Amino acid sequence: MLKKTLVVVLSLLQGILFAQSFNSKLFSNESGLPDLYVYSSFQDREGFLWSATTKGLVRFDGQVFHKYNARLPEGDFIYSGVDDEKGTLWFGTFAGKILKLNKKTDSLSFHSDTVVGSIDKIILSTDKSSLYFISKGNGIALLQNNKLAPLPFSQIYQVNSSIEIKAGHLLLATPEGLYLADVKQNKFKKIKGADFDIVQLQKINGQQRFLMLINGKGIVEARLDNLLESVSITELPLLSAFKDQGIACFNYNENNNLFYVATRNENLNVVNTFNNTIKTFGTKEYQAIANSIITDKDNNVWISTAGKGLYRFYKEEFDIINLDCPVFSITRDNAQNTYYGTDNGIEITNREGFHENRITKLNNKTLGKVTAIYFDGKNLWVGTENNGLHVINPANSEPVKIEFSAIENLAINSIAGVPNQNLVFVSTNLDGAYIYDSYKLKNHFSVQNSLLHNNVYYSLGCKNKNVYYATHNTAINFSKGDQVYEINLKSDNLVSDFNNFAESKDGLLAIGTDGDGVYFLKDTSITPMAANSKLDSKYCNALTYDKDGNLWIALRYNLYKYFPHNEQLKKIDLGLDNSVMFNINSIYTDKNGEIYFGTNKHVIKIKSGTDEGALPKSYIWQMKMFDTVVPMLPELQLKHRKYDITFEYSSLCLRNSEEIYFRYILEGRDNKWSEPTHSRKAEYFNLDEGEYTFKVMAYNGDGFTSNQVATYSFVIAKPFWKSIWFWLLIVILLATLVYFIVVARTAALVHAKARLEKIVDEKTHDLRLEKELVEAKNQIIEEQNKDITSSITYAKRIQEAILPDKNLSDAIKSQILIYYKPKDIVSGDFYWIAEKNNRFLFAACDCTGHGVPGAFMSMIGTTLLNKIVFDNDESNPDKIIQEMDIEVSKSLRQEDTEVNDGMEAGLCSIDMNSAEIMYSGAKRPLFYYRKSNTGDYVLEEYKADKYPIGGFSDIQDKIFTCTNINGTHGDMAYMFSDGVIDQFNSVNNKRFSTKQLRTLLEEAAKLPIQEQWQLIDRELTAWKGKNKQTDDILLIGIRL
Amino acid sequence: MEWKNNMRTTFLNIAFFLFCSVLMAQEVPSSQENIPYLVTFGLNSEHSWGDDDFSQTIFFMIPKGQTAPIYIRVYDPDTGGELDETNAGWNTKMKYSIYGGKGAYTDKDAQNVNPVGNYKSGVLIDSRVFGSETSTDKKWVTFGPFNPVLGEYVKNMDSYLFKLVIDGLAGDDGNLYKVFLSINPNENVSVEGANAFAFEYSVRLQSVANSVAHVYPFADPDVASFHIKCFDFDNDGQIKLYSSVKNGHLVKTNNDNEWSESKHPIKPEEKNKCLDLQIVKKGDYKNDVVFYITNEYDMPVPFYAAPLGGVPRYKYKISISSSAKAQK
Repeated sequence: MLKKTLVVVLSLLQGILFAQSFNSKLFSNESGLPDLYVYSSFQDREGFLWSATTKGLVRFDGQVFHKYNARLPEGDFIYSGVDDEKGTLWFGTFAGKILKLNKKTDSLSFHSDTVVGSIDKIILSTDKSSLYFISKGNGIALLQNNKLAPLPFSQIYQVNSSIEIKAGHLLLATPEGLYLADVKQNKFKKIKGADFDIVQLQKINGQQRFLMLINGKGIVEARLDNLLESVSITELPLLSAFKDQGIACFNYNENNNLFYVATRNENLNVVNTFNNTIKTFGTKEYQAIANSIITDKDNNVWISTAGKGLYRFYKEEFDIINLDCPVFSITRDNAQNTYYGTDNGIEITNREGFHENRITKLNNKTLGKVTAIYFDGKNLWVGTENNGLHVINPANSEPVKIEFSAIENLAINSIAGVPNQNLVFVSTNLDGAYIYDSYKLKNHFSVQNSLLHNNVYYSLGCKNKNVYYATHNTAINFSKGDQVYEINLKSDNLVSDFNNFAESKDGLLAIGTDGDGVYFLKDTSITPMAANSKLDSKYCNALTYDKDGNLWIALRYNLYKYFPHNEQLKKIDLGLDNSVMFNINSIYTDKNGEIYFGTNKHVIKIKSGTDEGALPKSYIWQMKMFDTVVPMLPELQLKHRKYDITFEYSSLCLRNSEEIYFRYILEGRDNKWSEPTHSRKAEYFNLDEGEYTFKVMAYNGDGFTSNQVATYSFVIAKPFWKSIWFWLLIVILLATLVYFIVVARTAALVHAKARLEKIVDEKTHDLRLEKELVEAKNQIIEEQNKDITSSITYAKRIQEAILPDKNLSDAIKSQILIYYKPKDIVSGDFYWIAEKNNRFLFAACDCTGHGVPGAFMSMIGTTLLNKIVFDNDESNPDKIIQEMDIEVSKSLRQEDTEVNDGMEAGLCSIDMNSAEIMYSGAKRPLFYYRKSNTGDYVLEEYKADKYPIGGFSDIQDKIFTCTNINGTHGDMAYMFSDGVIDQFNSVNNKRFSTKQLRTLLEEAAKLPIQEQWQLIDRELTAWKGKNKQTDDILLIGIRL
Repeated sequence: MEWKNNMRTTFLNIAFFLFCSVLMAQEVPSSQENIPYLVTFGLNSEHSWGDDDFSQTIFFMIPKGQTAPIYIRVYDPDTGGELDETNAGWNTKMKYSIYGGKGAYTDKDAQNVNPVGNYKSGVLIDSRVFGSETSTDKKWVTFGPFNPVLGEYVKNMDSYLFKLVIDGLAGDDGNLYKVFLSINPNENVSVEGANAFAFEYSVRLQSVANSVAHVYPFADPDVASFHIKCFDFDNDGQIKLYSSVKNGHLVKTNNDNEWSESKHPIKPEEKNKCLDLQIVKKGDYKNDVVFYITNEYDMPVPFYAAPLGGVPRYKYKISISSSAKAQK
């Protein structure tokens, strides 16, 4: 307590040094807020801000207010809300209704229970199993296991505010004091020591500690005793300053020790309890009466106001430290005291930022302007403009002796070092650079040993053990060990001096120039910073890298931040006027990454580094199809057609949301991510079948992203004719069709079969009848046939009887070959043999036709031959044939009738003694085989006359010729009917032919008669094969 | 009975609608009434000190078109200091509660002259308790800002109604105060088109002999008679009823801690207008009285801080002409 008082007094005497900078923004109708009356706000687990306004509930992502329609009756609206951290948001209305929002379906629904009176606040119990609905006029209702039950004891009191001080124990702030409710025990009691009109309670860390806003007293800190019976109150003097103004509400952020106090005179006061400073916002940055104040996870403060909208405040990343003097150099010691080199010695502030001490003399020397200052971890190095270099132990002010230049009025430009290597570099204006190692002079580099100039602005020891010197020259020196090297960087674009260096984590050296901007040196290669053209000045007074690897550039009048990863440059708005100038090399970076810049009026303290909470997270909040909102269902399948689809997306980032940009891609359509855009929608036209995934990423103004990608996938179906199921269906249909066709045909066939069977049966019946009839007829025919066959067979016997007796004498038999094969039972061919007057006569005859008609003709022929030869005593063959011709004609009355039958014949008469042969033929030749001396037989073929015996002929008077042949015993004479040569072969269907017969008989002639018969029979039988016999066959041969 | 009440309410509301654009009286008591303060005693007080029920209810009507926030300001809300009525030490706590939402006005108990039943109907919007703190002594304390839509929207008035209930909690002191409906939190600036009314007045009369205080009850078209009730007048002068056709009808008065009632028929010429109930004080001492009026059905009749239709003036039947003057 005493300490705080003293500090306050001191700060009042000395002036408050810290001037905290805050960013404020008002969200109103223009921002999309539906109504300027905002009753309460809260942040859900995901990070969205929810606000209850008169005209609806909104969800804010930092850019867009998304309104939810609660469908409440007129006069009712959402008043309060909470996240139950289980996926449901709960809301209470002015009229006591309870609604919940299911985050998955993103829709509001009513709870069955209601509360009497307005639901001013909803509190989630510490074990997250229950919700307390606080109604100012009607006490508290407990929702547990989805059932709402009022806490009866609470209803008699007006509950302005409530906190769960302990599990199941609620503290109730009422106009009549503080009460404690034991929910489980259903007990209720008044807490002693707080008999006030209590407006608001806020829990703070620590055992049963909390803050109270008391009407007429302000904000106090309270602590409940262990018995939970009484409370001890500690006044907060700084906060009691507002009690007369009337405090509407407050919020305390323990993360940064800030109280936000909204007063009824429409001011907002920010009290820093760490350094006891107060900043009041009024009119310009804030003018409203607050309904409630909350702090979100990123330490943004949201103020819900009555009639002015929603304010957002957050503490800027920089502070302005007012020292009321220029600061040329800065350092900090282990106790986090800060040393500022001013124009009148050293100003020292303590950890809290309050003035601690001022040193104007060291070693009995007036310091004057302290141009350089450096704490090496143990001792303080102090460089002055013209009062030398001093090293002291700040703990006891004991000086440390070091070897240094003897030049008088030497100005120390800068002092830097490498702490873990005990190296310190002192840069002077007249005597080069001094390097110390553990306070011993290690090197002194000047023009005497190759340093380019004795005026060294800055020296920097780098990771590669080089020490770089920024001198009054356009070349850079660096030393390694005892050697000094030069990197010549002269160019048309680089003519200025180098002021300072900064080394990045990966060894890239940033060089600040005095008129040419910033350059980068890697090894010996130098490149200008890509964003040099965007700098509004090229005079780089200070440089440093922050812990994220970004480069901070202090120009003369402005401060920039350069992002190497995307080469973006950002100007930092410090809210300072143009008279503030950054001093050269007045810069310090502490181990926490905080950067101090010294100017001619202030010190700017930067909290560098990227706040993870400020990284935006993208999300897709709406999808439209042809300008109509459609629900974004998981695994959405769209019917086949072309679609115009719009994705509306946003990002969740409650700070600096104005600078957010997006990149997106529709996989399945786009080949690459889009260019950065501030637009929050992506439109696609004529999307055809396919699988698509829309992705979007959000980036903050510095080009950083949380790397979280919002995605949504959907499928536009192929046309049905491309789908598997269609083809399957076709196949099934076809199969079914085939099946039915088969079935139909089978049925038809069955039917046809049945019909046919019926017909067949009928026909069979008919046929059976007919068969019986036919069989009967057949029977008759068979019997008749049998009769006929019997008759013909009998006729054959007769014919055979007429034929010359085969049983001729052996002598004759051995000389005569008779090959006789009738085609039918009886034959039209016949042979005739006779002996007369020592002459042997034989004839081969072929009557017209075969079978019975032929047999009749053979009968006539035989009879006529016998008659002519024996009755008419004719022996000459020609005469015999001549008479036969006449007789056949007469017998058949061929001049009067149409009977055209006749016969072909060959007749030979052989003198048995002389072997003289007389031949005559009617169309039947004589083959005479004469035996040669070699034993072979040579054929002599004697042609017949070309007209038959009997029948019609063109020749009126037929004259048959007679041929005489001188035979030799052993010769063979053959005559035959045409049945021999007309026999068809069973294979090639060719006739036996005369030629083949000649050859056969030539062979046969050599053989005995019996063998000849066998040979001829064999040959003819083989030739005939399976064929039927074509005609009657007769071959007669005689050996002379 | 109920339908008559509904009719009464309807015509009352129509009257509001017709005249509210003219009225700007949101101060209670208003200057037209010539009543310096409202008075409410602590719960432990004697009725004979001038308060029959230790509670007061004031209605504020805000036209629907009002979107800027409104404030309800209370002058000297504490019970202590120069203004208030002590009784052997300041020990009184006074609670000021503002209601809106459904039922704040339309609930039947809200329109009762006595704080019974659900007289605190509606949604409690704000409430504060004041003791004897000097910080608010003779100062205006502001409640709000309030979104006008927090009031109960009464359709046939086309207005949002807020109800201010002042309850004497513990103690036996008398709290004197005033109320103002403002659009400014720091000063009294009338809300355009707004009005204020009550069904019962507990007031501190002027401590000046022959001073005249006014109370303006409204006669709706259906009312047949006024039953004027007065409590604890202490026989401190006369009470007369004026209208266009009543020229000071005497109203029955009473003594200390007594009720009096008198019946006054309402003529057609008086309907749809306010009448003027004048309290002519006899003494120059403090006097706290309670008034309320009912109709023939015992339904309370509202008083307006500013009379609807203007201050009623009696219309004389005899006119004086120039010839008559000459004759004289």
